[in-house]
Amino acid sequence: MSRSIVRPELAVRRVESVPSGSRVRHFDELSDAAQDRVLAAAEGEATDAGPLPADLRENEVIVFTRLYRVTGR
Amino acid sequence: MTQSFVIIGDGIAGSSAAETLREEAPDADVTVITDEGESLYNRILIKEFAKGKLPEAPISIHDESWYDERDIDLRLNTLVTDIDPEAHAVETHEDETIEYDKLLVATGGTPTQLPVENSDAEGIHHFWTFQDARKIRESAESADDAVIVGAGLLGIDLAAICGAQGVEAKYLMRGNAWWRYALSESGAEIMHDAMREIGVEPVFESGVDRFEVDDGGRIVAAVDPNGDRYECDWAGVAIGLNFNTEILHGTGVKQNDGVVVDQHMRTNVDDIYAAGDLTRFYDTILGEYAQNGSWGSAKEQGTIAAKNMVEPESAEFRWVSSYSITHFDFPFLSFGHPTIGDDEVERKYSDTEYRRLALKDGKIVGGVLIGDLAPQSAYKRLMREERVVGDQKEILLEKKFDADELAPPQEQ
Ligand SMILES: Cc1cc2nc3c(=O)[nH]c(=O)nc-3n(C[C@H](O)[C@H](O)[C@H](O)COP(=O)(O)OP(=O)(O)OC[C@H]3O[C@@H](n4cnc5c(N)ncnc54)[C@H](O)[C@@H]3O)c2cc1C
Repeated sequence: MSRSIVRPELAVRRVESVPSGSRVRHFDELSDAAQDRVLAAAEGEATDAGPLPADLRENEVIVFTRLYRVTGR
Repeated sequence: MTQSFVIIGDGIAGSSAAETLREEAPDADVTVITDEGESLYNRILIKEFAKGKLPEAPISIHDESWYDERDIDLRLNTLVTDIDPEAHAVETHEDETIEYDKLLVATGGTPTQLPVENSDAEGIHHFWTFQDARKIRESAESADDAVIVGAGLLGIDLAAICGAQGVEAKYLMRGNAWWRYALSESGAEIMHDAMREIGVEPVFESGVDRFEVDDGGRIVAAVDPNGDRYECDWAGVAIGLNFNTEILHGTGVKQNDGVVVDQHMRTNVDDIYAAGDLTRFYDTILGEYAQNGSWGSAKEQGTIAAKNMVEPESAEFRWVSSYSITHFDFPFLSFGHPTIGDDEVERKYSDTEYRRLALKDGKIVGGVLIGDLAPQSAYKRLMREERVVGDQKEILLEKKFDADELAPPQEQ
């Protein structure tokens, strides 16, 4: 099971490019909970709130249908 | 005495095993042998590199210092040529003998070549390694036309590379739909439309009878079994994988279209384990042997194998595999084993939304979601829990699926 930890200052945001030096992962590398979080961000849903699944790391970029970055709100 | 663990293959299965072995057995000797010239990289991101969407740097996962820091002996450019289970030793192409107490075979597969004339001509690409991706990118950047063969999950990556690189492509398929074993024609039609939108034309009831080459031996066209000729600057072939199991020849390790392992990733031969794409593992969810070809599953199998190599039967592989396609405006996700089962339900919600679930004995065993992936984790959970839901198909297919609306699970 993936854990959630409270990091309210972080969110999943759409970005246009990969900032140099960022860690990049593919959607398929994520836990189910982290996948759901990226899906919510992609749909612009309110469920993109609350504790972030533990396997999402600050500043990393996720390759989905667009690029998403775990970043400060 | 210090235990010695040897891993063949530095893909995600081998590498995650090495990491776990170091954590679980801090004093053991751990050796990772790979015939590739680079340490673990992200095989599922090399398509983004070939599309021209990502540079090389973020594709790498571990540089060599990662192994040094963990005191893991990494042997690059080293092909294992033989395993001697009696002597507990492997031999490399340079005739070096490396002894093991426990061995993990995580050698994955090699793309299958089409059994047709000129299938090894210059300009015909298969897609597995970072080196393949570099060559594909180079070809795609300078090409106008391409041919893609293989109507599955890797073929569509090649199609997407053409789309991203502005190459017009003909996608030759043997049947009447893309990935016809996992989704119906109506679901596949969504994917066909997406292909057309990026300049890739699906050609059905086709395939390749032979490739034509120029005087220099370079591909110029593919000819299909109907005699139709498709000119191209390069071709991408993704028709399947041959598991890299030659080294198991004569070891007594049981194979059945894959290396047979139990839920602990243990083969039938003492002290030899296997993990990743090449296994046919005992699936505790299905209650039968199964195969996965996905990153997450290979990673988990490597971890489970390592735990059991240190402490026999300490961990069990129980996993719902998942594989997505993210090339288009809408997402696609398949999970579990969508090509098996004795029952199915499907629905098309719109021109870009579709769902199909494969069921066996009333339990979900796999599925395909296109467009709206919101219910994915709920479906995977039902599969993991082996819930009998086959009598509640309407609820399963509701657009806003809510697992709480299902009748409570029956006591088994
Ligand atoms: C282009 C592409 C796109 C993909 N996209 C996705 C995706 O989106 N999502 C997903 O989940 N999965 C995807 N996959 C599948 C996923 O990459 C594999 O399931 C996973 O990488 C398998 O890992 P593995 O460690 O079992 O095998 P591999 O990664 O194949 O590693 C095996 C290693 O062993 C080495 N080896 C073989 N024989 C020997 C020998 N005799 N001696 C020494 N070394 C040897 C090989 O060179 C290789 O480095 C994709 C695969 C490819 C090729």
